[in-house]
Amino acid sequence: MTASLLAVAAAAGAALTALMLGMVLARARRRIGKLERAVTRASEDLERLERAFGRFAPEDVVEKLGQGAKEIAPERREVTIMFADLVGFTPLSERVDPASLIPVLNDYFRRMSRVIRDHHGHVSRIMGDGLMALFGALVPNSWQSADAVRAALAMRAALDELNAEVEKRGLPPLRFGVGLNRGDVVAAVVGSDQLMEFTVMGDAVNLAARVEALTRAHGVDILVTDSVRTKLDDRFEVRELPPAEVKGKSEPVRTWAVVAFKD
Amino acid sequence: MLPHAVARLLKEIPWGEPVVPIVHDPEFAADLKKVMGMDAPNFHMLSRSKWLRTVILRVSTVRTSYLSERLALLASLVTAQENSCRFCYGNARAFLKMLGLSEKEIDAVEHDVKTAGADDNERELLHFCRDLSRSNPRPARAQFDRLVSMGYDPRAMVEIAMIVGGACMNNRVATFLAVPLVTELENYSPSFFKRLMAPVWRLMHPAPPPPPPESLAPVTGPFAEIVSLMKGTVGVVTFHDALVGAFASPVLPVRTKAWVFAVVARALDCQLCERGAARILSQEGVGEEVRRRVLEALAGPDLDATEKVLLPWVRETAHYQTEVMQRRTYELRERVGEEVVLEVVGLAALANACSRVSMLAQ
Repeated sequence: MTASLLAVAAAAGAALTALMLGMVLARARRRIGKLERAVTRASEDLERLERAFGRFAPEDVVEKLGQGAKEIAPERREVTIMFADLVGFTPLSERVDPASLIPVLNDYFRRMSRVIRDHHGHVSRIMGDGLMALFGALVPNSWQSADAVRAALAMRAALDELNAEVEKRGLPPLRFGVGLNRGDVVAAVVGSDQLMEFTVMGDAVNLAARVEALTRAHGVDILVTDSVRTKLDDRFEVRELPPAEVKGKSEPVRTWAVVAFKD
Repeated sequence: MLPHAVARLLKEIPWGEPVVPIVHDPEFAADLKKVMGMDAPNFHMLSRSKWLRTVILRVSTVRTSYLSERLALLASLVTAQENSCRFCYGNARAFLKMLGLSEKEIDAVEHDVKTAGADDNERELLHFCRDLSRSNPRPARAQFDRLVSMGYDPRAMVEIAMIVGGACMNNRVATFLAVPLVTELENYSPSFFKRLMAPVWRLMHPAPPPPPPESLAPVTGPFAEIVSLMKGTVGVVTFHDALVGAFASPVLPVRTKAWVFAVVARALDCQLCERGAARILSQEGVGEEVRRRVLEALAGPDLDATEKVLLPWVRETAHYQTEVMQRRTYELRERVGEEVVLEVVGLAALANACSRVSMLAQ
């Protein structure tokens, strides 16, 4: 009798243990399922981020950063650099209500970025009312200079379209200056843990910025250096301008104003 | 662990309307049934181009002699993922499931070839596939040699370059033409019975024997230098026949085809392909100075009206975004017509494949 009771109690104990184990396992499975879903979502977000960042830095750089690389070896490459700046925007911003002006500025950047992307370039940096775009930095591009100049011309057309809307809002039309130069640069990820960017550095970059500033002196909107002009075929109509002194250069710099492209 | 993460992301990529209509061809249907065991209606988008349909069917069903079928399919999957090709990705995934791989194993590979569950050697191999597919820049020969030193059979490595090159071609044809997606394949899940029978099926369909010795003989025909890089593997016959078929097609002049190859070679910085294209252009009466001028501008009085429209489009085929490329291909169709668009899509895709395979020499 006692033995039977003990056997029943043992069986009940075993059943209870099995039940509890089952409950624990079921709970663990639910938690694993939740974790799997969370990991999947995180994985999707990561994939999306990698694809999105691929528009701003080369794929291998994005990949190394994603794997936690602290430093990425800089590389030397030949790129075409574009600086574009709105002319007279600072005094305008002092006169006009920012609530009216900032949407116009954002619309300007959106239109210019789209045009640059359509011509195989990417906007590397936005500085106030100016931008720096690169051609041939993310993917090697044999036609980078022609792409950059065609982008500049398309930006001119896009600015005309934007101005038609700007004037309807009672604001003065926007004008820009675009400077283009081609040369060897050091491409690198620079910055700190808090803020880093993929960018290019070197004399070629500085010269592009100086050439953009020269547009005001020459009274033109698109200006290219010799290194860009020699890569253009005769469909590009350019006009030579007098050599000009620029900071950091011992010799005056020859530039060409871009008039049109005849396909 | 990561069910369908990439599959879902690929589904976020808009996929446009077909660029050319599906024209059912009974003769091609018979070929499809013979090779694949079934007619595949979407393949009939290519039915009006005999060389292209033959090449795509052959490249899609090629069996390797030295590389395992599993690795060959994994390479195709990684390539389709890199090229964001929903059509080929769905196909490769379904075929892997037919081979008996679980969702979990495929997901692990597709998520990130660096952290996949495969062993170190396999990860390295798939990484090579991705770099070759990406070609930004193309992997150096040293990467190939390192894999050989890790124990991979050099002939299997040649086959993997051929598989990635072929997959790049398929991806481009499917993406540029916006071949209708087969949702049944994207969502395919083999039954328990099919999974059980997978090993038996593999036993019944062993890998083909190595190609006959004649494939080791010097190769002739267009881009023979590139084809001969695959000597001793099935790649020689596949690429040789593809190139001969493409250059024999009457739709576009030989000179235009050579320009297509030259532009893709320039876009991918493939000197071997550019030399091959230069040779053909020279035979067609195009001198070095004209070639230099045209390749710098992708335009000029030396090109005919069709070439002037085609070449700027061709350069886009090296690195592209699906949506943008499909839009540009619709625009191209409006300017040159369906027959030419089908032809140039095939040519550009084949040129991309050749430029990738040529890394074996560099």
